[in-house]
Amino acid sequence: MLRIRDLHASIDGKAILTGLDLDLPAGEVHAVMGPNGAGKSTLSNVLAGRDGYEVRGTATLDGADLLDLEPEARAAVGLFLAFQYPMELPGVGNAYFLRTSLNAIRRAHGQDEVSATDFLSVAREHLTALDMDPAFLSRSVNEGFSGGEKKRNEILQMSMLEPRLAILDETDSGLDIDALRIVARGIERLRGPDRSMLVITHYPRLLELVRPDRIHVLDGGRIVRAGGHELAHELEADGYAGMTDPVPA
Amino acid sequence: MTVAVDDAMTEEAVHARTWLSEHGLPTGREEAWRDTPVAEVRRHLDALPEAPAQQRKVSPADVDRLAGRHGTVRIVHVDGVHVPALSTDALPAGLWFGTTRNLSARVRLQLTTPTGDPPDGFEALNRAASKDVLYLLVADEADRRERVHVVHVSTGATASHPRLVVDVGVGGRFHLVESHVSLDGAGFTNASTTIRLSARSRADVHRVQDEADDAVHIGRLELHHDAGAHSSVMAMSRGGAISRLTTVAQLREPEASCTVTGLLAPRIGARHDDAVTVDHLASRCTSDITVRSIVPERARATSSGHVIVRPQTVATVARQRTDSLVLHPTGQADSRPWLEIFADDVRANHGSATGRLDDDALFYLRSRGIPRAEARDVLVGAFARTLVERIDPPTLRDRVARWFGPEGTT
Repeated sequence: MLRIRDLHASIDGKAILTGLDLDLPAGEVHAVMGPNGAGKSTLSNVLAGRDGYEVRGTATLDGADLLDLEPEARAAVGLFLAFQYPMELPGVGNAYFLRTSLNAIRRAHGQDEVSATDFLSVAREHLTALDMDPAFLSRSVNEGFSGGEKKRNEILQMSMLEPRLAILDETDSGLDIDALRIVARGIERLRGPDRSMLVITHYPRLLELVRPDRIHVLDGGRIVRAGGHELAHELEADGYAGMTDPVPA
Repeated sequence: MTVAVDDAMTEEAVHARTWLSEHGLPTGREEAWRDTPVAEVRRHLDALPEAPAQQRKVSPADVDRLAGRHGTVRIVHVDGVHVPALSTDALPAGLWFGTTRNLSARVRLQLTTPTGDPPDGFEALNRAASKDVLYLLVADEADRRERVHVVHVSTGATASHPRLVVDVGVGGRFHLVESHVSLDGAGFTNASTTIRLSARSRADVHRVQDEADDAVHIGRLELHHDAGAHSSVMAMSRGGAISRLTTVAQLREPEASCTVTGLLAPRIGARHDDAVTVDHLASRCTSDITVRSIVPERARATSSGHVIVRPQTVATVARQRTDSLVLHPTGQADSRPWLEIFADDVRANHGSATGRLDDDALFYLRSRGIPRAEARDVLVGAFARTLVERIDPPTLRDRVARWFGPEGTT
């Protein structure tokens, strides 16, 4: 599924990722944890194709070289990034945005576009599953949404676009415990043998609700530790200090 | 610029002709015209024949295609001349329509009362050269919810000077959609519309300029408000290599109010200039100006808002807001608020912002699979949508929304 080798990224000459290796097999959920400034958000941005980084190394999704693709082409091969800070788009209706996105990806796959009627019917099912008010669809994308609503809207998009690989960039940040449970339930619902997820987080609390198959600790721009769920408890007890000896990811 | 004398000329036209021969067209050195490429406009005008070699036929299908149908009543003007065959026969009660050629003496007296000197050479040229002025009268207390759609078609073969005069009676209500369109080619339109609002009357006006890419359009919209009258204007410009609209709202008596909204969407390389003047001549009057410009490659959009508050007036409220979205480094947007306040009891504010497309927003859309060009259209449509969604005839709203993409953003 996702294979990253010797990934380097810098911005304005400052190195942020410094030779990152990571494998994420199909159907698994992996967590990437790390302190502030470790390069977690840079990893998600570089994989999704945000401008502004100098990048070298390789990152493939089902064999497709992600780093050679435009952001929209990465989405078309199945990559989805749930943003840490989802953008507000005043004037862009949520339903219009979602349908445009869905149809763009369908077009890229040579499939027919979904009609407005069929789209609304499907969207309502997803909203219900995520315990979201249908009124979300008629609002502008994320405009005036609470932090929790924005994150749920990201999960709604992920749910409808059905990506092969979902990267969740600090999806737990800014959420109260109830909102966190709803979001975690939405993520768990989307787990499946054909979908992998990379959950990027500061805090172990999300990992109690979304149990990862493997945890990677990122520090100084590379993976310095990897292990099972017990690593989350170790981090909770001891923090990131001392985890500087690299081990194979 | 000279205008031939015609036996059918009104007193107003004769006066305008004299004024024009003495003062001429603007040169571009005048403050009010400094953002309009007047020299290019004059060259364009001089290059056109005074009368077309052969009048092009305009069909009902042409009018539908170019302007759409936005009201129960449609009146069509081709190169400044009323065409009954393309226009609605019957008018609803309380509404009267006529042209220079069929004015009764009584109506002629009512509508051609002296208007004084023309404010500039283009208005003088319009008054002098209009071949067939359209007059619309709304009776006192007539609540005409039916929209009147006036379509001015330029065939591109000659200069046209369409002129419309509307008189809304006391307590009357009137809804006008005015479309300026052209068949093709590099026509020249010098249009003028005057709306006189009697006490307690209301006019809702949508003005659409969607002429050919090579056309030159000079327009003037003048609104005179008596006590308690209200006008709501939405002016949208899309076509033309050069387009200039002057909107003048005179709040002549107490408690009059106006809302003037502008949407400038020039095409690549075009210059659009929107100049609004609101003159608060009486107390307790309110004005609100909102303009949004979307400026592509090598285009330039200028928006100026001139608010005057006269001495001895009280309880004036004047708001002004201009926002511009510049889509390319070679595009240029200018915003010029100009407040002249000669009274103390005034609440006036103005704000202006110019920006380009947000890279983060573009990335967000692209990360969802939406190609760059489509993502750009979505964001441009969203910027315009704030104003587009205020357009009342849904047929016109859909038409304008399509300027910014196949489905707008709704």
